[in-house]
Amino acid sequence: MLPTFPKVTELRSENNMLVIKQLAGQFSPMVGMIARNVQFEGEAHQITREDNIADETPMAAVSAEIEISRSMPLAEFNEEALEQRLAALAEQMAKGMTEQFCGQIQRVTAKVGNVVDGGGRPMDEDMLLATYEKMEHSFDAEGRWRAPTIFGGSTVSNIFPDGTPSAAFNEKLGSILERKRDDFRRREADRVLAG
Amino acid sequence: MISVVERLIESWLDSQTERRYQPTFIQLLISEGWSVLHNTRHSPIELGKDVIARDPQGVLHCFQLKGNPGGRVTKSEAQTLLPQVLELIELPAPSLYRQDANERHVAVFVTNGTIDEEAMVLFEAAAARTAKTVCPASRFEVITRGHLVARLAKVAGAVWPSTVEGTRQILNFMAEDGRTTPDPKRLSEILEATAPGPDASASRPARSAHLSSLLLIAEIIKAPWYAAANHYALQVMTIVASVHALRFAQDAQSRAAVGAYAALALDHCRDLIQEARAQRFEPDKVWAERDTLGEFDVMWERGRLVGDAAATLLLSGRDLDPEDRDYAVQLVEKTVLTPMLWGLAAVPAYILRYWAACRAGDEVTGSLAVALGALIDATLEQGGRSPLPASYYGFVDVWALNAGLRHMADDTIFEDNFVGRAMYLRAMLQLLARRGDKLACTRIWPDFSKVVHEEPELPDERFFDANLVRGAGKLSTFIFRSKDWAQLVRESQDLTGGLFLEPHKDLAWLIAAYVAIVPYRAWTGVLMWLDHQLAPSPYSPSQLAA
Repeated sequence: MLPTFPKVTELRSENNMLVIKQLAGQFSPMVGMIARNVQFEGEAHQITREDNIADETPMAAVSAEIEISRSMPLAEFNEEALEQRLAALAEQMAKGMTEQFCGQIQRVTAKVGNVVDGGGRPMDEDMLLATYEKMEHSFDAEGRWRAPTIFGGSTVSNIFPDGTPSAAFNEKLGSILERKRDDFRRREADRVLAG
Repeated sequence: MISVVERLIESWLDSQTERRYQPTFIQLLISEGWSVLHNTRHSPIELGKDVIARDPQGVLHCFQLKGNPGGRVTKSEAQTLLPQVLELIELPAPSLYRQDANERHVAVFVTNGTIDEEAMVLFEAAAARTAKTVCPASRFEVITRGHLVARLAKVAGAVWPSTVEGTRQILNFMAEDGRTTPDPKRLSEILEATAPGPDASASRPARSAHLSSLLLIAEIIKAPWYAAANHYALQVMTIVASVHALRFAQDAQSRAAVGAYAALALDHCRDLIQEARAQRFEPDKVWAERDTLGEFDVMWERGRLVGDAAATLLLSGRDLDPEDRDYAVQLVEKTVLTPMLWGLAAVPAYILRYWAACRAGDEVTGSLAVALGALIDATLEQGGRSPLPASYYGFVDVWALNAGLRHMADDTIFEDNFVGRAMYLRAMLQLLARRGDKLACTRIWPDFSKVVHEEPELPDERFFDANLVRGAGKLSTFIFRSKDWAQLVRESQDLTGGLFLEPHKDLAWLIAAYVAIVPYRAWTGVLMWLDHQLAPSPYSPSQLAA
């Protein structure tokens, strides 16, 4: 082997991974907002719901690639060059993780029939209301709605052409939330260990 | 009762292939009073003989070494080995090693494993040939794991530390990660615990016994680095142990023994150069062993260390394949022309490479003046440069300082101040003066004279020990304003500071490699003595003064 300094390289590698994760979160806000749980053992994760239906999520590896030429002069391989390469890796990682995440959401929502297919149309107020209608919603102790976060492409930011929801949208949403609040309260009231 | 030393030797021996335990076997023979005549550590086996030696009674022995770590020689393996064993028995030792044409040798088959009974029967049948007086071998012997452990434990036991602390140091050292470079101070602590420097009254046999046992222990504790094939670390340990052993070398014979051991460092250097060449390593290009982005911080330093090994090889005069030699010269040139001086500790190694470049015929005096100018600028915080940490701080310490990682370094580096003071600059100016570069010296002098020049003044014998010296010596500082050229030339010719090294003139390459590894021992007097040994000046003192 050629000389090396394991402690230095290990620390730099750990630091590089932290930077990549941080940048990946910036490249993909969805990835950045996911709370991280570390799973120490096993190769998959399974969730068994109230109705005894089990969903398994396999572990998926996300890889990223960069090329660094061996003929690159060492004088050019400076902090700036390193940061550029970490950013390139982070972008690929963000893309890969987003694809994995969206794919899993697609599978799960399709399975329970929660898909709203827009048929290629841009997202609009009606489609958003249809989506809210399909979802389970949660509320705080005072009954205030915990609005879900919407991730999407550029059309998502144009749901409200004037920048604010229309009066009709607000009215329909109020009606949906009223029903959803009742559903939520029923679900909460059902959390009883009987007998 | 089985002692710690026996257990350690057993564990070490059980992980050694033939080539790995050969240097230790050589040290064992020397420790027992044998004269080693021939050693084929790195060449193909010659006439069935790996080692040729005379025992203390003068009887010629030829050894063939086999590696069966933790295993045994079976009947089928013995059948495979039989042609080589027959060569060992039936071919005479080269005439160079025989006292007369009729001298017969004792043929010895050595394994670090055991031998099955059926295999032994085969060997005994071959040994029957020695009964004939025309057979070049007078008898056939076998040395197996048990014999080796007993003999090694006896020799190592003679210098094994008698304290629990000494044993702990050895065990901790041998538990280190073989991918790291060992700290010369820690190695010196072990060497000092096993063989403290001799006092004046020590007898010659006592010195000799300590010397060979010391080198044997040094070879055994290299095990983790052998396992990792860490050639650079192995040469570091060999060089530090060899210089430590010079304290016991008071006569030509013992100096030759140290020289023979030190040559092993050159084998390690050559292994490193060959591996680097095979991996198409270039010190000024991006190269990573595994993780290119993770190895970002160590690339320059890796190039520097490989360049140091190449410089050591070139300065030693060791015969090299033309391709290896050309590659070594390229490594040295590149690391002299674009040095990465991260701290003052990297300066003696730079001078080592500078000497090697001079010897290879490169005109690099200009780069020495540039490096000196840059070091002065850094010391005085000029030209956008920052002062370099003192020579007692290693690469990882300086890296941690620059990265602000206090837990990764010697804490004192975060409290130390390096502005305005430096080591080695006096020696570098004298090197320029010795080469007649009056112009550069005159140009550099005004800033040079603003620096406070530091120099440890320690007893000469402490040079051979990498441990930091407490309770003796002092740190001297020198302040200059003006000086005339003739006086500078006279200083560059003064070898007083290195006179204590005169007995080791033949090993100047070893001393130079040592100060590159243990930079705080690169005293000005030592550097100037080395300069006179390794780089003859084209000018006489009178020519220079004129």
